[in-house]
Amino acid sequence: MDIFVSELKRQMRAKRFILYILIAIILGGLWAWFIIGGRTEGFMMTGCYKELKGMEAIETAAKDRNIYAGEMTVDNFQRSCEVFLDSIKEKDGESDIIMNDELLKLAVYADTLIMQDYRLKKMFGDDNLDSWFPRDFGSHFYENEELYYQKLIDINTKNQAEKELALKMWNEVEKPYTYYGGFEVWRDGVEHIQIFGFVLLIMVGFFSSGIIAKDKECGLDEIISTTSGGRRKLLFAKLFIPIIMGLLIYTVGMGTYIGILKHFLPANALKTSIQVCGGATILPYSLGDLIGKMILFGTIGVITIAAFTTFVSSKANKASTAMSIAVLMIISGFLLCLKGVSDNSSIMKTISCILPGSVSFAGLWFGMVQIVSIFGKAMLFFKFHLFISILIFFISLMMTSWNYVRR
Amino acid sequence: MLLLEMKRQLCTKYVLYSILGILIITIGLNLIIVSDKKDIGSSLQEEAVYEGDIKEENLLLALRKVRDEKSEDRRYSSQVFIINSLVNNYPGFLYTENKIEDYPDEYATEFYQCWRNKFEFLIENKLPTKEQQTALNKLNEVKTPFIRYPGYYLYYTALDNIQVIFIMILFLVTFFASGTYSESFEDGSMEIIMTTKNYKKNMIIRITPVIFYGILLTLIATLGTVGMVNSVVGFKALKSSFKMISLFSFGNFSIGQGIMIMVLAEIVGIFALSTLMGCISLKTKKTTIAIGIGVSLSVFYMIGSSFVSIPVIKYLLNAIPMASSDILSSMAGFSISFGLWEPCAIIFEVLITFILFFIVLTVLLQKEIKYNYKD
Repeated sequence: MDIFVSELKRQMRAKRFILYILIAIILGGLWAWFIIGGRTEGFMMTGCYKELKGMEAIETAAKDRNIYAGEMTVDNFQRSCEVFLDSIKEKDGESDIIMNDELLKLAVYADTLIMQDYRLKKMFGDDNLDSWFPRDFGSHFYENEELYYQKLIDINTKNQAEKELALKMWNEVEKPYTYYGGFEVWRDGVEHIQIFGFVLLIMVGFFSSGIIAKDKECGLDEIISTTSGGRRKLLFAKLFIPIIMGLLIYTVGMGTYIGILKHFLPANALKTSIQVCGGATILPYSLGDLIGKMILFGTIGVITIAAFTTFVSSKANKASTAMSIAVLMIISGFLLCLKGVSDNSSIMKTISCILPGSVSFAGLWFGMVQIVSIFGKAMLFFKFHLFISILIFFISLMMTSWNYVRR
Repeated sequence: MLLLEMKRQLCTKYVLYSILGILIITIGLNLIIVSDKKDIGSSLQEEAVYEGDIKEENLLLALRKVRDEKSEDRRYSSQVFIINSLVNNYPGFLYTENKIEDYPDEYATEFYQCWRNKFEFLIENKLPTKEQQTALNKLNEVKTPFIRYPGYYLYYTALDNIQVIFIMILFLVTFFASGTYSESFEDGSMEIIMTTKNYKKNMIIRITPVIFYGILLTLIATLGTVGMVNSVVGFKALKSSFKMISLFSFGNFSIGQGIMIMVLAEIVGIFALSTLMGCISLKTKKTTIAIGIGVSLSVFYMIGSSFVSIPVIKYLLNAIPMASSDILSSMAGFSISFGLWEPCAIIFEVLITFILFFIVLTVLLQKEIKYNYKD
């Protein structure tokens, strides 16, 4: 244990330690400020809340929208449908939406209806887009929702097992949906967990890359091997210091970010169902669940990249080489995940899974129906990704131990 | 001496592996495009009937066949696809039909006029007032008719692939360039080099191998992609207008020329990046720190450019060499910056960065040399 502590002290010299932690905190603070401070609210380009920005806009909009918040009942949908249709004024062939108080309060409902209308028209392609939805559209909201998701699952699943899993997930979704004012900002905040995680991941890569390679560069490695304990005694420290530091950087950075968001944004908005948040998804989660999941992915991503970089560091002769490889891995994982989603190419998605650290971006698999079959067994794609990542983590640990002690 | 320096820096495992890596990524990404299209031969022949200039009467014929007679002939549907993009690019502006059955004849008979109308509408609604006049002038310079050769649509994904690979290349160049000077300081070889006659010259030519390396990777990625796509659709597809990739964009260039612009931008980016990294490497004398700064700068661009839209910050971001790999999106859009077409502005800004840092580098080198001679 002595040797662990002294190695820990050596690796986390005051200046270096403070630098990493400080950068993480500053980035977290800036990021949260960027999410909250830059926020503007509106509805269908009508220019309501136009003069407000940041917290003011969020609070004003949330206050209006909280009047009908909670469970989204069919009655409220129907009411919003009527209010919305009444507010449309036809003017020489173009329709204008005239904002009124009631519509401001029902904005979330109207928004959800417009989205559903658009999706249904896109999927079935047999409606006239010139007109808005019919007057009783709101009262059929959940039936239409069922219709849309059944079809979506049909299109996106390849076999019976996948379909069953998807249906099971979809049936677990709580209906009626729930929402509370201010969830839009939270949604952006949750999405940014991944992007901020990407930056933190690179920082962890930077830290871990020198852990063994630097010893080799300055000849310390040779000296260690001649001591009575040899490298074997130091192995534990070498394996776990990057992981500890990685977790520390991630906790501090992400903690600052989430802490600031939690402090300023309405807490009950976290109960919002993710189906209301814009993207189509079959997962039965609320925004709060989503935060937990994203942070779990981020944490696993951080320890994976820490372990993997340590392995590269034990292999490479120079810290800079290890650093380049780590950064390259993180960036290709990031790019491939994005490209895999946008091209919907299963090959690219699978490749991106294998890249260490890419699990931090597994939140991308929450959209639509992302299910994969392995040996005939259906599995949610993000669980598969998580599994692969943990596998890589342990393989990296083993390879590092083998490499380090044997040399 | 230049050759020797090239040999010293380029004949290494790192270079070999990165070339292989880029080659594998290029082939891998494009294999996904090409492998889906095994039965493309017959549809290419069908499409070839109306290749060349896109004529309005042909569009009308195709629209009638598909809309009224429900024809599924490739030769017609491929043309209706073009009319489709009139409606579906920037949806919700001016034309809002949801399906082909609703398209009026006008979209085909006056295709170019409709295109112009929507473009003008977009410019008025999406650009700030002071840029609108320049944009309209640019629009007037666009020549019609557009040209189309079968199979051009493979380039949607191919261009995206090139862009992703270009981003990777810039990162590779960052890593490679970070050691330009610092590595020699670290392993002590600088002490020896300092005593030689050609010390001064050696210091100056050190960034050339880096640039050479970057250009080499760029060429491999581009030629690989173009070669693989061409093996399926033939060289003609390169002659299609870039408008076929993005209908609402400026300029009169073809897809092939579009790729050239991307390569040009990337090369300018490589020049800027190597001098910038050279400066950092010389100043910090530590490779790891140089990599850290270089990567942070590029990541800053990647994240900043996708979220920030404040003009001042955008100008600043575009000066970062990483911006040059992102030129495809500004080519496909119709933004104006500094009164110039945006891609030009980016190339111009990155070029300025290059010149600026080249001067800084020479000054730094002079200082370094003088300092050493004093000892």
